[in-house]
Amino acid sequence: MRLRETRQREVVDTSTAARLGRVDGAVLALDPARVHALRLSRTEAGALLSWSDLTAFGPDAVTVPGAGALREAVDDAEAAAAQADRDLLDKPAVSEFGMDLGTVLDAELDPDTGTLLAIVTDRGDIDAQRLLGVGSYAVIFRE
Amino acid sequence: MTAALVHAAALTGLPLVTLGGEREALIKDVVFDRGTGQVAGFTLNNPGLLSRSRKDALPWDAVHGFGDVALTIVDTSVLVPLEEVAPAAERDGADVLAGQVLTDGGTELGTVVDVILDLSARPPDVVGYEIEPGPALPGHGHRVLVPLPATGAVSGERLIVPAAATEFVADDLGVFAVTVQAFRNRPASVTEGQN
Repeated sequence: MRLRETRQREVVDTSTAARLGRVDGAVLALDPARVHALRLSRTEAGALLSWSDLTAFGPDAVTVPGAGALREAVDDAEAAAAQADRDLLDKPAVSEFGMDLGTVLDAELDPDTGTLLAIVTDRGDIDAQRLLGVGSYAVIFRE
Repeated sequence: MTAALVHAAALTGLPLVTLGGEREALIKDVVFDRGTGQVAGFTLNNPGLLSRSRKDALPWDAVHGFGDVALTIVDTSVLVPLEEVAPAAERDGADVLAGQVLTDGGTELGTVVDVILDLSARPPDVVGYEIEPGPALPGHGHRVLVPLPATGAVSGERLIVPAAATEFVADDLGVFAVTVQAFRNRPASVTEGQN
């Protein structure tokens, strides 16, 4: 599954069939590189949804067991990682030694675990385990 | 390791990026240690429209990598107060780039306009100068690259180079790495003093 496909997907509570919000972006964690949580828009409860709390990441909707899965950031570090300017997509890809690796177009992820498999750039795929940092300016990769 | 030659001036404006992917600053200037002739570090500007000079600086040994699109550091804890990299006395004194180049034989070669660095070495190796040549150099009228010995060539008001350097002048960076190697590997000359 591609990371870009996750954007704008509806989040539905399977206990009530109510729409809880829409996916606005992915909150990433490293070592191993994975989607740790989804950032939602248009929610009434919290703005984050842990990947481990999902029932399924379906082709048409993200399902969760109840509205209780929505939460706020647990600490400053998670709040910082959840900022929209820390998104992976459309950033310059740069090696840890400052070399140009292209532009990040998308990422391939395992829909069951949220694990990132590859980062897709305009110059080809990069193994997601080389991901070293995702900042507001660039995405940094190990040499 | 393959030589990676750049004009020092070309580093100006290069973003300083952490391994976390944040752009912290832009490179303002390369600072040279006048005593050793080596690169001491870099002064910094803030990024953005109001790119003001910063009160901190980057020592060369805190550089994680020099690349074509960024100079990288682990994080901002490696930055030090400006004074530690570029003492005020040196910042206000004669800039090494304003110097004349004189051979040890006493011939004025021209005026330094830029410094050529090999970024594959640590610290970055000062391998030569770009100079606006005087009449003593052939093909004067356009800037040329003059190689430096492996050790100790930056000095006070004037930069003294071995006379043999004039036989190893290059027109562009593409061939200069080979020129520098040839110059440094040449048989010892009687005119070259050892320090």
